[in-house]
Amino acid sequence: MLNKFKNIYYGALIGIFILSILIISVLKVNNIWMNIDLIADYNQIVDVGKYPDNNKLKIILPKEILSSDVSFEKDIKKTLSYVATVINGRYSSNPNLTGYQKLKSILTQNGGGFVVIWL
Amino acid sequence: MILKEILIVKGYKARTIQLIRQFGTLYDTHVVTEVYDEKLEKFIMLDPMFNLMIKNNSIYMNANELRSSYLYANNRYIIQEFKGNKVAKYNNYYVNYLSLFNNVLIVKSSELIGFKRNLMRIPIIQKYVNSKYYTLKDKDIKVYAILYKLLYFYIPLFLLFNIVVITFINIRNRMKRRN
Repeated sequence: MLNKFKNIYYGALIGIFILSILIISVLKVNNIWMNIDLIADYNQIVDVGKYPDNNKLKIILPKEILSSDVSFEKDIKKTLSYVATVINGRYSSNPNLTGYQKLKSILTQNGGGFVVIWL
Repeated sequence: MILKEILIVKGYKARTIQLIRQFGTLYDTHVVTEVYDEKLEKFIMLDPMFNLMIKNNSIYMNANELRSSYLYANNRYIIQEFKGNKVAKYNNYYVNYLSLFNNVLIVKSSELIGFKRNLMRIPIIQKYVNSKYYTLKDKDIKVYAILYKLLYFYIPLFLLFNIVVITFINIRNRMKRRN
């Protein structure tokens, strides 16, 4: 009797394992396999990780981009425009891709291979 | 993400936002950056692909505010594009730009590099090392969030526990038989 129960129990464990793999496969095929956490406050998530060697960016970025303006808004717009016009060559057909290529190599070396796809 | 890294180097709090028009498709997606504005005490959105920011009554908006405004508040926003001939235009994009804001996800990237990135594939462990998305509470997305946790953390943990216990019992029984 105990042996029979044992077999059913083992069968259930194997069943759960196979079922899990099947569900995961279906979710992956449908591109809805995502590690998502639900939050109540949109601004609460501040620490989202950074590349360990992102200080290397200081070597290649121009001084006027690294230096902060007094006005937050001006500084942000300046940085945004720099990235959009100088670095982002993929969509802009900008022939001057030097900055982009340098950043790409730094980020790729630091495990950020996919980063350059999603500029 | 390059913009995010530059902003962090400059001392700002910045994060990456993943936009997905519809769950279940990998195609109509976009990525933007958000930076924390200490004055407004909120994040504001920057799109380096189109060199634009979004305003509402002269206050810059974040991706989630744009989503709410676009979906529920009669389009109360102004898209502020900055000059630059070499930058792509959002209204020439292959898909309606604003429809990309249907799903707004905050991206937390994994800090693992090199071969350690393989750890992200292992159930249970991946919970602590994998990259993650955050989004505001939503009924539809809740199902996917629960399924992921259940299938990649709780069930593998349960199975692992059972394997350990069964192995332990088998070893003990063998020892008993030998004695």
